[in-house]
Amino acid sequence: MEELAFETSKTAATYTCVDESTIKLMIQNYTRKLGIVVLDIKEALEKYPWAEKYFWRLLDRKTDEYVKKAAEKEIGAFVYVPPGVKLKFPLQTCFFVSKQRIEQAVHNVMIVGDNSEVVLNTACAAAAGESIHIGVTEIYVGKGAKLTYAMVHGWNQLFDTRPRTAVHVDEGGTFIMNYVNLKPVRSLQAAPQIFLEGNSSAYISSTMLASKESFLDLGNIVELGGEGAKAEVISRAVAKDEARVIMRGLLRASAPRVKGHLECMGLQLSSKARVEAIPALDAAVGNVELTHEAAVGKIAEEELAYLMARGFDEREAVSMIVRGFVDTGLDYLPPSVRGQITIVLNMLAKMAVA
Amino acid sequence: MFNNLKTVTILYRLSTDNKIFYYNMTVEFSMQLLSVKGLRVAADSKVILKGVNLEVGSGEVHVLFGPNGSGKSTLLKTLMGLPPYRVLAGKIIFNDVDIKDLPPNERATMGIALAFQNPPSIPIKLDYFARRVAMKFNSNLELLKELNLDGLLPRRLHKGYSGGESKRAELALALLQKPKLLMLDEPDSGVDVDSLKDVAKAINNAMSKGTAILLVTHFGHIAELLRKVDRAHVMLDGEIVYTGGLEDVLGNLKRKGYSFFRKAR
Repeated sequence: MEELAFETSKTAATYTCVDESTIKLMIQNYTRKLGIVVLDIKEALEKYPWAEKYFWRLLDRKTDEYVKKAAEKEIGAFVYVPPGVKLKFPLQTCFFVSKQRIEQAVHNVMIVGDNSEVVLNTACAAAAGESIHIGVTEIYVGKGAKLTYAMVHGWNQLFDTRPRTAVHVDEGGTFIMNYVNLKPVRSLQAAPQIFLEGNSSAYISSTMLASKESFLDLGNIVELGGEGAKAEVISRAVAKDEARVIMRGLLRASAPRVKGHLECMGLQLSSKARVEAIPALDAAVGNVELTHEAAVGKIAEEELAYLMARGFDEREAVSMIVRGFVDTGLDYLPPSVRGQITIVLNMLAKMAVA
Repeated sequence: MFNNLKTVTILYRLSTDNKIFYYNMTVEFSMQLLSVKGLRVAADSKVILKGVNLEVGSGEVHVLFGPNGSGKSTLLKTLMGLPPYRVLAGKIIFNDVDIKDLPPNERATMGIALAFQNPPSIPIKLDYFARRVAMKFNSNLELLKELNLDGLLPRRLHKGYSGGESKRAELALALLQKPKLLMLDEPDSGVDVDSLKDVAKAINNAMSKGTAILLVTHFGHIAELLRKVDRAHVMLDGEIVYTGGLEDVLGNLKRKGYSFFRKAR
């Protein structure tokens, strides 16, 4: 858990869930004074009845068997940021599974008020196999608000996970999501849905290292639903051993003058690893600009030989190519998050040749 | 035995307990940094080098001329240990070690560097890569400034570079390896006048530090800008057919073309 957690000393508030209970809440005084709320969802509903209108609005509690489980258990993080707050330090949520044969089914709700600006770091990890993590998350980004959502996952090779995420970005809002999966996982299936209102933007980057016998099926569904909305969705998958990755992506334009770009790139490091890229575009109206790019392949012998001629052994050369491959440019991230993600991606490149 | 090997007899005088012993030891060592003998090389099933002999001493500057397809690049890539070239016969002795079967990274560590003619595009930023190379060879990144590469640092290596940018980046990366033998594969092709001067200046600097140079060129533009050239060679159909001074080779080449060397063969 520790290796995946973001730096806590500069955290504005932290929510921690271990197995099936919320075990720790930490909120700095200055965070509280700004009117920010970080609570377990049950407590939040008791304390702030108005919060209920945000529950199960973006996702139907009967969406699938996994969402149903989270709806029954009703534990998870509630985060509220009032309008006009620009938070210097990040908020943090951590989900950790320590026991075998349990279902960690959480429901998280996050509301970022109009014109606010916050960073939410989420670290998820499992120390035990034969368990499942179900993370149902509803996120509201207010008008002109900006949320940077950085997630780092480190599961277990006998572990399953089913995140279910829905995001609503109001007019002029910005949603930035950076997802990294580092460790083997028996199965991971997720397809976050993001709805963009007029002139709002989404920058979504997913980077996956799939190793051993992992099976990852990950996609992002972005609906450009308001005039002038724009989205950039970039996915990078590195598969080794006998891992299999399906990278999906769908950009749907349902309003005029929207722009979207979707990119799915896969790198296979072994003969048994497989990456499948399935990008899709859907333009329901005219006057839109949707593009996609997809490529899957292995490291070219020529690239490897070039790096070896510069003095690097084969392992170092592969690691460097992987590091370059997952470098999608982090310029849109706030500097603090950029630094953390850079460290995580360096770690990923080393793990790719471990 | 190679003719570039020198035999030295050392007479040791050992004295113990008032007794004096004389011990006679003979050592053979190479006077050359690089010695290539009877090198035959194939790519797939096609034989490209058909018995190359070449000797380069420490700090010497050699220029290798030859028309397209004569095997010049194959020779450099074979010396670097790159695929798909396969040594069928012959020896490659570098610093008294037969490196024929060593992987490219070990050759690089021993002091051989190659500035590629057509390097592949690598998904790594030049800035990051140059730092990694400098760290490995404990070298100074100032070289990048000297070769006007500041503007390229945030860009991916050899992705959309112009001819001059590519040659300057290759030369800088090869020099960051602090090589004993710097091999340059057509550093003057597709290069503008200013870049050519920068490249020549950097090669001259390396030369003054005692780096041996093996430079491959078509036309010799770059050779004329070098402070010194010890030997000029001409390669035709996978063999070095002529060795002489730069003026001799370049003069004949300019006046009579490669047909002169073909006839002289």
